[in-house]
Amino acid sequence: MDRDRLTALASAVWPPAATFAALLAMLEIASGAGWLPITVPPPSAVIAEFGTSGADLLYHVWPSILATVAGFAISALVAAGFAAVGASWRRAGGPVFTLGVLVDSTPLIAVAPILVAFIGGGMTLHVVVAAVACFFSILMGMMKGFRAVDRNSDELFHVLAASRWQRLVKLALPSALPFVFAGFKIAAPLAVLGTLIAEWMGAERGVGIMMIYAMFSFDPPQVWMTIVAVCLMAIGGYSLFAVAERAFLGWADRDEGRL
Amino acid sequence: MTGLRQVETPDWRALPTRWAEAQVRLAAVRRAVLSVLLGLAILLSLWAGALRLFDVPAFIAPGPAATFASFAENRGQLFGALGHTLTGAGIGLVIATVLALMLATGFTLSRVMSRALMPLVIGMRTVPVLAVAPLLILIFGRGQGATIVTVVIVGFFPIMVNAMRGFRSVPANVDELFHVAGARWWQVLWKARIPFALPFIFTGLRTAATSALLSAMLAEWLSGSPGIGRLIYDAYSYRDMPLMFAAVALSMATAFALFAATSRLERNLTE
Repeated sequence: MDRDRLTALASAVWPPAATFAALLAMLEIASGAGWLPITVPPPSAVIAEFGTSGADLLYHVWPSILATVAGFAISALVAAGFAAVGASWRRAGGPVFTLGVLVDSTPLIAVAPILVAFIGGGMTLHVVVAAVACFFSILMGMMKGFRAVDRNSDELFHVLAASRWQRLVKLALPSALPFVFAGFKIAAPLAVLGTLIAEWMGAERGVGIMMIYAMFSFDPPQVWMTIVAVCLMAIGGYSLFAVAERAFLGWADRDEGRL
Repeated sequence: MTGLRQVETPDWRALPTRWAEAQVRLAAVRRAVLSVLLGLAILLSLWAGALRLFDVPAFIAPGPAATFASFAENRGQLFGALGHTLTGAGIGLVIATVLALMLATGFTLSRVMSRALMPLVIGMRTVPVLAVAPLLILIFGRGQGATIVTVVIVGFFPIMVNAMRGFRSVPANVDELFHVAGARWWQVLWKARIPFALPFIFTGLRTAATSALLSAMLAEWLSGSPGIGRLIYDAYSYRDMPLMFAAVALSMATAFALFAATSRLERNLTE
């Protein structure tokens, strides 16, 4: 049984892994033969760049991670508040959703200068932009989750005279969690992107500003390295929630929670 | 008892005429316009009131009146920049759609291709694709080219993933009927897969269209191509706050209009 699952996993993993390796090898060969423009360095040069300026990268990545996590946490708290209002008071559901759509369809790049005018640059700005960037996905997940209570279970709890607290902990939360996690998984990379955009506008430390400096000083391997670092951050955030979902919600049908 | 039973026939005079239907539709439009205007009025008065209440100086945030005056004064420049941005975003979207549909078709036709590439495509979705914008500017230069490529890369994934889901949503019965009737693969594709996939493709297009504006503005912001994203940045560097607010308002209005128009199109085409 367990071995079956392992072989299934292996047969699902090797074709894309092989393709990826082949792509890297092709890049390496093409760049060795001089077919690529100077802006596309061979993968080995990007890896070497990790070795030479790894310390710089760590120095810049740390505040970015902090800003992303802080922004995500604030966004999740605010979204939980709005979703709770929307779920417990039916008539507020529509306006809360409209608010979410408004925030989502506003170009982030257009709001950012206004935010700079009000709260100035620096860490606060990065946190706020990260929070705005991931707000909608979290809100959607939570709103869908709070509405996902199964009618039969609801009636069963009613018949068994469950208290309000029991309803919340044993019924509402478990049925909401798959949706909440689906929202979190979409939102984590978006929060990384928000931090990155905020840092592009100006920062003392941050992976975004490192990327911009590398671009302006025409250092392609370093630009590539920072991009790989950002992608790793996003994948890290996504997998964090994916692992947590699997740990907490092994019982749930995972297709159910898809947004 | 034996009297003729009266058959209930609808009185044709009571049926809604075209005129009445048009009236109903007109009333709906009027209501929508009114609610938008009301929302705008509330927003504007909140804006002006907040500035007055917190005593914000005009060089940080101008009021609605100053913004509107700047809008009227610079409307040629504003709409020129918007046109530049929309051209780049539009070209990028068309290329992204064509590429995404071609690849999605390839994936549904070939199992090997789908197994080798599909997980990579799914994995790319967890990566913030916009992060590669500086790289694209490095490669494609500081003109419209970098904008177009950014829009293509950002718009490609939602269209492609939704198209794949659509191609797979063909019911098994339909598939079997086509098989029994001896349909060729291109007949299945053209007469079953594409019609069933249309709603999904439009969902992807809506997502892509709203993010296309953002990514085009972002690319201009970094590259200096003369669109509305650049205009916002320039106005900010010159501390021309009324112009900046006017440009921000214009880009937000465009984003909302795009969102509304594509959602409407999606509804009309899928119902």
